[in-house]
Amino acid sequence: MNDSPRALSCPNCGAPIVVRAVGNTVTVVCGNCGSSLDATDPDLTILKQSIAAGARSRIPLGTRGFLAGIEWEAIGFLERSGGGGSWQETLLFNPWEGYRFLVDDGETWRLGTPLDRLPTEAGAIATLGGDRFTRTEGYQAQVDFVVGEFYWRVAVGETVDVCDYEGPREASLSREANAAEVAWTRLEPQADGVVESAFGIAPVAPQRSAGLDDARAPTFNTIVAGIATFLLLAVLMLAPWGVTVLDTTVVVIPDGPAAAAKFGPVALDRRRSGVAVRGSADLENAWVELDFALVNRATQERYEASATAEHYRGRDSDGEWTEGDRRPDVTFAALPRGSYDLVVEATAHVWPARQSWEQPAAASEPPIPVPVTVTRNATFWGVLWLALIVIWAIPMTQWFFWYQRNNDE
Amino acid sequence: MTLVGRILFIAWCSLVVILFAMAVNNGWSPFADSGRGGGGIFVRGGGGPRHK
Repeated sequence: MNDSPRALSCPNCGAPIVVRAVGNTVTVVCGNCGSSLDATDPDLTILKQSIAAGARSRIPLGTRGFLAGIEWEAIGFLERSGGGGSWQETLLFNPWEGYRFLVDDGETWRLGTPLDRLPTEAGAIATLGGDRFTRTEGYQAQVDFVVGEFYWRVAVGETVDVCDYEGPREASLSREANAAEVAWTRLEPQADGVVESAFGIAPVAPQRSAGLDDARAPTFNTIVAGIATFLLLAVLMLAPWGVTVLDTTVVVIPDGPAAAAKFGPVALDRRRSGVAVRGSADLENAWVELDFALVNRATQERYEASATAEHYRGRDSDGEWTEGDRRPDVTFAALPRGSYDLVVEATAHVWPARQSWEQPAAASEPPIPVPVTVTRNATFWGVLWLALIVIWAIPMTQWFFWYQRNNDE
Repeated sequence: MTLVGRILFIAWCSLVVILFAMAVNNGWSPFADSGRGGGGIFVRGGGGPRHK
């Protein structure tokens, strides 16, 4: 190694400066004040004065370490950005081997070797030593921060045009060009921990660039919610299936008197049963109001509900329209075991309504038959939807915020 | 997610499944039109189309 570094002081702030690669270094950047100094001048002329500097390098300048059996000394540090990302470069020096770059993009260390011969270029392919490299992207990179010493003139704000080429074994080539020169560098990825071990620095968790934060994704809750959904469906499959226990018909005259009838028995043999009563009517521009009551024969306890079978058709400026439900049903929850009568009261009306209730119904209005069915152990799908919403609301909310956070980052 | 959060979510899902099984077994629904613990939510409107 170079055993005779020059000890100087910064003409801007007076801080001590050590030039390690004496005879090779062109620019020294003061680690205290950040001023760029001309290392070729014995008096260290200020090339660019700065007031900002700091020890941002993970490898402190002056640190020595062995990579592939060669001892390197960290003498310069750059932060650069471009192409939608940023990275750090540490300039390594060995008096017999020359310079190398350690490039840290937050995930991988790559060792860069400046090339002393040009690759063969053919379109998007560059060939070097028998290896083919394919051009991937081109962008402009600029220096955001610099400290230490360099073999070229460097300062914050310096820009170069970069082209990256990907090759075999995750190796890559980088072509950097400015108005004065073109420089090629071959980059080889370093195994995890090698650089940290060589220079005695603490490993840090890889910074995430554009990838998704899988560790914090609510995968566990999604799996649990999926299992719960399966259990809900299993419960539904194992529950007693609906059985039609009464199928009858009520005939009602449009705009006539209410038709009332009692049917039964409706036997409910479980301790508690859900019951669905459906009335349907094949009608057009008319409605049938249906009042149902299930009356327990033993206790005379009465459960009432109403529905309207209706259907309308018309035409307006938007064209044809229809509305209404010809087959409404009503549901009775958790009826106690027992024998019940179904009491039905139905009235029918046509639309448009008569102008006066004194006016008789049209003689041509035929009676409307209203088939009525009673189903015990009816499946109430609303409960299933409610349970699914209650279960999935939590993981879905977590996914929403997870995606939002990842998009923000 | 923390271990406590995971346990709480498992407990929450278990509770929902148990309540669902009880509701299915008893034929109960908060959306029912009538019966024990249901009814009164929906009110029938008058006849005729709502189309304007």
